Amino acid sequence: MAWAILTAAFLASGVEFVEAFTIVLVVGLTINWRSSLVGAAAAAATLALLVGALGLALVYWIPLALLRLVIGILLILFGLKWLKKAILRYSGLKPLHDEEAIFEEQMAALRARGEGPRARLEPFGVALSYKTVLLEGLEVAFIVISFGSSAITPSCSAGCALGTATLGAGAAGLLVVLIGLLLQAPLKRVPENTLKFLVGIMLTTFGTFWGGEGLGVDWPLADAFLLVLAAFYLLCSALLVLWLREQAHRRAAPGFGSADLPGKGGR
Amino acid sequence: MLPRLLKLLRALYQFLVGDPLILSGVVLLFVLLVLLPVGLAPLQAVLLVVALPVILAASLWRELR
Repeated sequence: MAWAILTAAFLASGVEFVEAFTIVLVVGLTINWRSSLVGAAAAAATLALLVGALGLALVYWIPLALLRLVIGILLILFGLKWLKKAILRYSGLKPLHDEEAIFEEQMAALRARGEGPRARLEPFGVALSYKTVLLEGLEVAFIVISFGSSAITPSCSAGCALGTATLGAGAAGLLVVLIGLLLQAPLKRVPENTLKFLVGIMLTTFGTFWGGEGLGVDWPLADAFLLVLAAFYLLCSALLVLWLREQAHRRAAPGFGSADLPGKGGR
Repeated sequence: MLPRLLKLLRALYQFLVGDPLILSGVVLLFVLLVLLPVGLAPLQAVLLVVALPVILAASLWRELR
């Protein structure tokens, strides 16, 4: 029985940890690690406070559906914003944002002033990391409480059952973090616009999934439907890039000036 | 007081999305989905998934114009 609870909590929490860690990882890679880790740490502290204050009553007091709906809408807004900019860059309607060159320039200026590099806290990155870790952390807490509570038997007390479920969830979290640390180095080599495009797809995908769950939608294939959503948005974005490229070619043809092209900078 | 509040709201708007079409499109979509009668969850799911690329395309089209 203990092994069944341990495995179930490990697998169910593993999915939630992967979702949270994905966002923390992409915020770290695309914005900066300081903002990502501050957001994640603040969410962990909020979570600890909630679990400490409410204990097992957490399941009854936190409106998870409403939280999913609000966070889903925000993620969709962020995701579409990033996706739009990446699509405009891919189609050639907006200049590519060469962050590496900008970074080198800033480093040279800092070195000239005799200062070291210092990652600034970006509110966007902190907020994104915070709400994702908080939502997924709450889901892990719900899994531990519900799995643990259902496993209480005369031979396994509440402490034993909840402890086993916590152990399973903790092991899943540790494994996800370890795999993520190994993946971080190869991901750093992905070009900036590609990474931002993928982040846009991921934020929109997670936003749709959680927003839908908040509305009461029961997605087919459960969490695996995230892959279907990601593939769909990827296909739609590719079609939009093709359409915009054609428009860009038309505008580049004689009769159109460069002033016709949108070229706002920024992230 | 009012200019400061407006500045704060503008900063919040820029932080959230920076595009009125995406913001209004997504908010209107969710209002519509919330208002749909209970029991229409499959329709809500289809509408949600299909409407987002349409909102994105509309925003890109607007940018192009």
